[in-house]
Parts: sequence; structure tokens; C-alpha cells
Amino acid sequence: MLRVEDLSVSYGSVKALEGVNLEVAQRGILHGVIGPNGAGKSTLMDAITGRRKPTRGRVFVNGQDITHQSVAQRRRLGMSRSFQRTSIFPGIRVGEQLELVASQLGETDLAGIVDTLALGPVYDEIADSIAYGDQRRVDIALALVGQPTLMLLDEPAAGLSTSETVTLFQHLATVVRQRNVTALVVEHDVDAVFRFCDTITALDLGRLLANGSPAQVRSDPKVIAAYLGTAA
Amino acid sequence: MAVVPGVSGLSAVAPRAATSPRPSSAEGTARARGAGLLKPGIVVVVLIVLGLFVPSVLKSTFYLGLLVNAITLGIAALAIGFLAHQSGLMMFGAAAFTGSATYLFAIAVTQFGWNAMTAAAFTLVGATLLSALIGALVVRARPLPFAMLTLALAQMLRSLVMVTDFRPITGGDDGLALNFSGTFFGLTQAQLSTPEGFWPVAWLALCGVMLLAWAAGRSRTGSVLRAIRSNEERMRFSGFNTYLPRVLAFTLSGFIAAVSGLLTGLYTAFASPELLDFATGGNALVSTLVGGISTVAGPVLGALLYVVGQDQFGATGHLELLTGLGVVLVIVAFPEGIMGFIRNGIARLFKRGAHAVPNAPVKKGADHAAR
Repeated sequence: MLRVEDLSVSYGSVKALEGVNLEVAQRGILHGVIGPNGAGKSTLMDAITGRRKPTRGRVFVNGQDITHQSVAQRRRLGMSRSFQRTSIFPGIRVGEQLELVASQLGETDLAGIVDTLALGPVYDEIADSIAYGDQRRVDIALALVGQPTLMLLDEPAAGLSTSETVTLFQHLATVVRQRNVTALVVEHDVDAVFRFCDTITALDLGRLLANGSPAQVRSDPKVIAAYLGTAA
Repeated sequence: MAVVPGVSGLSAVAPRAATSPRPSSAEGTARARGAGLLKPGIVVVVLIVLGLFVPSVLKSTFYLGLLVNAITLGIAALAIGFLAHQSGLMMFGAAAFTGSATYLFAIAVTQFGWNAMTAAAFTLVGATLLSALIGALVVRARPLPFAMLTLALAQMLRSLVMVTDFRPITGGDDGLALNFSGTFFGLTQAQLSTPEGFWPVAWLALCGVMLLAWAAGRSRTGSVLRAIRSNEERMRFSGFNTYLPRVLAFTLSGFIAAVSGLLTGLYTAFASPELLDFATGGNALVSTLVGGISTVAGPVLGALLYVVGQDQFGATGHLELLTGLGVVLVIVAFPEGIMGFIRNGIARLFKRGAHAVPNAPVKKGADHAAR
């Protein structure tokens, strides 16, 4: 599904990501990416999706080397993403933007996406006039269009309350199973990640700390020391 | 696919219907759109035909001349407004395309000896190709550098036509006076040089470019362009090429500007360096701001007001002062231009009306529909 080999990204002399190896083999799962601020989580997302060029390393999706593909090419190959800050199309109706992207990517089940994410009531609304939680779901819907095999979600619950976060993760868990898509989710809400994600990667200071099931990562001494603390 | 239980509590919007409006099929949407356009289409055709009779009603060569000037300026303003609305890029140097079109027409007539129809076709093709080439180079720029690049292009072309070595072709400082052979859609040069004779050409050209801009705005490319303007990065991550649609919009804008330049050549039979000057492009730019960019009628209305205002202010002897004052007042009072103000007012009126009728659908954001 997704394989990252020796991925490194530098901003000048600062190494944001250093020699990260990661493999997510299974389809239809939620894979959480956790770590303290500055761990390199968003940089990892950006490097995988082509938003930022890696200084070293390679990215494979379904066995194909996509390291040098453009973001539009990656999208057409089945990799989609959402952003840390909601990235929808302000000033355009929810339905219009979903239909536009669906027509570009040959999506045949837009109604299913709309239903699954409960976007029907806001379908005819201007995207930036709807509630924030709805906007986050529009963001995810845009990433879901086109039957992606891999979806990268950068802090999809940012700005949501605890209950809204739980509901969003319930959505995501349903979506990845129903649509057989693997979602890589960067999230600061550790409780939600450990509760809903099938596998987890922990990063710190641009390096891989741990990788495995929620139970394995939660009990990893390096993760506890660097991120979870004794409260875990 | 069923709605996930409990999802309706995600946002502050309460409580929701369990079923959602389904995305309609493209065929059904197209059919509905086609049926919805029938009545407005008939009204537009009637207006176009009625417009041809303006000289019979107005009976004033002077005011008809003002209207003709407003049309050539309005088409140039539409070129700016179309690009600004579709791609968020404001062109400061529209004169590069209007002026170069006039020069291309003049050169085709005086240097190549082509008849009016051939020279006009050459003008439109040449100026459109020029805009495609320039567009390919500049549309990647951010809005302010883009504006300055187009301004620099116009000033560069202005200097180019005045280069001594090119004087035999461009006429240098003196410009190019032209006498063209043949007729233009059956009209001789003598007929085209009068407001009455030129009116059908100007009017039909205006209607043609307005319909073209309107149709382009409603096309899929128009939707793509607005989405790129709204969030370019998301468009790239949605699998779209964000460069070519903008080049296309720039090229179409250049074509519209070329129509304005061609009309100037046909009507005045003269090409001068002033046509490439910032002041010429500035008139179109101000007209665009006065009328507003959110509808195809806005820039044209702005040009009409600008031309009439220039005439009235000129009579007082304080042309620049009153023009400046008027432009400032209009832009401050109507930030979205006069047509934007009218459009918003109509939208509010409909919204209020819809609220008065239970369950009537309220259409938000008339931006797309009004275009």
C-alpha cells in the first residue's frame, strides 16, 4: 500500500525528517501518526504527498515509486489528502465543488460520500458559510472523491471539541472500511488515535520512535518518554 | 449507503434530515439548465435586435459617438473584468492587447495591402496568439507582480512602435493612418467612420463578447477557474492542472481586448502610440472598478458611466479633478462596483421574498448564477 524508505526533509540546516522508514500494508484501516510539536508529522505528510520535496529517500504507493510525481499525478494514482487548516473552496457551494472534483476524478458514487459524511443538509450551501465541523467533513469528502486507495489527513479534528472529534473519528473508521481506503491520520488527540486507529506510528524530532498496534506503541518506553509521559 | 448513526451531532447545525439531496446526473443538470435558459435567451435576442435601432431613437450623432466610445472602452474593460473575476488577476496593461490589435490591423492594411475582412481576421488571430504567448509567461505570477508585468508589457510595446528603425512599419510618433479596401460586413470605410454607420458593428461585437464571456464563465472551465482562484493548492491536490486553465482565461481576455482594438482601428482608421499607453489601459481599468467584475455587464456599465462622466466633467474645465473625485466616491460607496451593488440588492430582495414563503429555497451566493 504505502512504503516510505529513508525519507529525509531539511529546511536549510534544520532536519525536519531524518531517515524515516514506514510501511502501511493493509487496506481499509486507520493509521495514526503521533508525536510532539516539531516531530515532523506534517512534514512527513507533505513529503509523501509531494507538497514538499524530500532531500533523500523514496515513496512507493502500491509498489510504484511516486517520489518524483506531481501532486496532481499522485492524486490520479489514488493518493489524496486533507490539510491542517481546512482546505475547501470558499465562495463555492459544497455540492458544486464536490461535483467538480468528482467529474475530474471519475467518481461514480458521490451520493454515497455525501450520505456517509452527512453532508446532504449543507449540499447547496456556500462552503465557507457552514459550521466549522461541517467544513472539516467537506474537506474529508474532497479527499474521498475519486476512490483513493490512500488518504492522508493532517489533523482532521483540529479545532473540534472532544465530542466532535470522537464523532469525526467514528466517521473516518466507517469510511475507511466501507470504501476500503487506508487513511494516514496525523492527530494531537492521543485518546482518539489510540481508540480508533488500527496501527500507529510515533515520531519525535524527525525520527521514527515506534510503529505498531496501539497497545505496542502505548507501552513503548521511547514513546512514553518523548511524548506520552507517565499519564499514558 | 446509510448515514452513519450519530453523525448529525458533529457540527453546531441542528438537527438534520436523514436523507440528503443527491448529486444530480450531468445529463439531467444540462437538460434543466437548457430549459432554464430558454426564456432569458429569448429576452437577450430581443434586446440585441432592439439595440440595432438605437441610432433611430437617439438621433444625435454626438451622443451616439459617446455610446460607440463607451462600447470600445467597455469591451476593453470586460477583458479586464473577465480575467479578474475568473482568475483573480487584475491586468494593468490591457492597452498592450487593445493597442497591439489596432496596430496589427493598421499594419495589415497599410503594409500588406489586405482588405478589411482579411486584416480583421489577421488582427484577431495575431492578438489572440500574442495573448496566449504572454499568458503562458505571466499567469504563474502573483496578482501584484502580474499587474505590473502586464503594465510593463504595454509600455514596452509603446516604446517598440516608436523605435526609429520600425518607423516605416509603425509610423513612429506619428502613428499610422489607414485607408482600407473592400468592405467590412458590407460597410465601407466611409460608413464605418460615422457613429450611425459603425453602430451595428460595435453593438453586435459588444453583444458577442458579452455572450462569450458569460458562456465561458458558466462552462466547466469557468467553474475550474473559480475553484483555482478560491483554493489553488486544493485544486492541485484534487488532480487538476491549475496552469492551463489560467492561460486559457488570459488568452480569452486577450481576444476580447483585441476585439476592442479592432473596433478602434475600424472606427478611427488610425493607430497611435497613445493606444498602448498606461492612460488608455487605465481608462478601462477604472471602468472595470466602477462597474464591478462580478457580472459581464459591470465593466460595460462602468465604461458607459466613465465616458459620460468624462464628457460632463470636461465641460466644467476640471476634468481630472472631478473624474478622480467621482471614481473615489463610487469605489468607496460601491466596493463591488455598481453592478455588484445592484446584484447584491436583487439577491437580498429575492432572499427576503423567499423567507416570506414557507419552505421556499433560498439561494445563497448569487455570484456564480449572476455571471
